[in-house]
Amino acid sequence: MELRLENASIQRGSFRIPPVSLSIDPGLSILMGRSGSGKTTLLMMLSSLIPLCEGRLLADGKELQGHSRRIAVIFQHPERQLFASTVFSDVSSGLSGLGLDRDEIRKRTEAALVQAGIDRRKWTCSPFSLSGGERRRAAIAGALIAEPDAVLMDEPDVGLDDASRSFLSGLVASLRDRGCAVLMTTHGCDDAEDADRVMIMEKGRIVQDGTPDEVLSFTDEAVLSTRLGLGRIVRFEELADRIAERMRGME
Amino acid sequence: MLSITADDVSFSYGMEDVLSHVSFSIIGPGKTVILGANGSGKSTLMKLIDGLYPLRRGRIEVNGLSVSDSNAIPAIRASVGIVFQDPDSQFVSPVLEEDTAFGPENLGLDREEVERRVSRSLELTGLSAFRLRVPQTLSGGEKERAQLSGVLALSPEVLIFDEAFSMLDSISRREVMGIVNPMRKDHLLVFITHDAEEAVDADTVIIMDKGRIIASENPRDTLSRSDLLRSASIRPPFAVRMRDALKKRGIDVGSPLTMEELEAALWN
Repeated sequence: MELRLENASIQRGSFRIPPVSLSIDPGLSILMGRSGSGKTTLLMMLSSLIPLCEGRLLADGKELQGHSRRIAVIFQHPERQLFASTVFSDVSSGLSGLGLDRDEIRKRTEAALVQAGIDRRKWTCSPFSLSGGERRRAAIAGALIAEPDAVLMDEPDVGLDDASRSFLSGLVASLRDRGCAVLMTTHGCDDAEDADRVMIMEKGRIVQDGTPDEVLSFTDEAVLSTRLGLGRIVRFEELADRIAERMRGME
Repeated sequence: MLSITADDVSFSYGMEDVLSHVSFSIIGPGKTVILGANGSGKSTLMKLIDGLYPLRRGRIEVNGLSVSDSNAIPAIRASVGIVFQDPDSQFVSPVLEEDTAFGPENLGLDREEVERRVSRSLELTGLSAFRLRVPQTLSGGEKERAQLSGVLALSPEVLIFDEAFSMLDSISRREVMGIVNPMRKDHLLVFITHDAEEAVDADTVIIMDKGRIIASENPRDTLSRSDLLRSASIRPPFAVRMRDALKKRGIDVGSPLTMEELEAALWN
């Protein structure tokens, strides 16, 4: 799905966001920027959850009126949005109202929980008995279970350990494979280096927009490669190759 | 003496132990980092240290006082300040100076002393100009500093940071760390985190995995053991990962822990 904002603006109290035009294509787009730069606001404008006060939101060229279930939103701290009495019913709730039969719902929910790495014994427990990371993974799995065409994630990687991060990367990879448009805001750079597009926001505006190679100048990899005079290299393994090459040459 | 000691501590919420046979001893002042993946038991440990959860098995002492002694709890809480993740959910007042005053007021201090502490805390965190602001309208980094002000106003000797800065961007994080780091000279600072990068300048690093302590040494000995870190679902620091990647390519750069050390090794 292609999501597009045209001269769109929203009102927050007495403050009106300057009109923005932006399209998000299938693939992974990363939105970075300091706290308070406007990432979450932009994400909300694309979400179809809040009304625009001017301009339009289009999905595949068609204007959206009201909320579209084809767009999934994963808010900051999704683990706080768990509400059902068991982990299983929470994750499966995203499939309600879609006219699926019980067997299909059970099958899809089980697959989502297995992918999220939640121990089978915990499926019938309260979501609040899970650890922080498990809760986050369960909430994300639930938000994506209905296979949306666009996914907007607001800092889903905050506070996640290595294992939960791999779950997230795997999930994003499978969303990309099936042509989903994924927009993710983050402070970390790990996901950005493999993204299709990286945007940087400052004070409510997108100030940089391009491929990871063009935009990422501040990651550990980019800083080290630049200091060593190797130009800007944003991928870890590539940097290791280049450093090794150079050191062999020096020997 | 500033200290936290745990002796054979186990804890469970239900059937399964989230902490099993945990023992360690941290002597201050200085900086200790408790490093562990999500669900390793590190937050539970912190709550036991502050007496927020009842301790049933084992023994924990803070500055020589046992957390199992209900008479000692007020003294322990007065000496331990905790900075949690997500300041938004913890503001109690619509005005920053009132929010900062909340803690000392509840210690029953007189008005002048409360005012003195509020002014000093806000000055330390660089928020004096914001004292009449609504806390929720501050930026992410400022909110974190606002929360820190409230904790500092309690004059704790021990400060525990529970994944406190993981929401911050790298610039805001550096700002807050610039305020916190110098305090290690006369406070016992304990950082609970899954980010190994935060541990490179610690005096002691305690690594937790599935409710157990798997290492407790200085950062140079623990953080350079990437197999150990990875077995606990912790990503080694950048310099250590690069060292491993170069070793695989037949190049030995020693054991750098920080970006500066790595760079120096690569130039030599």
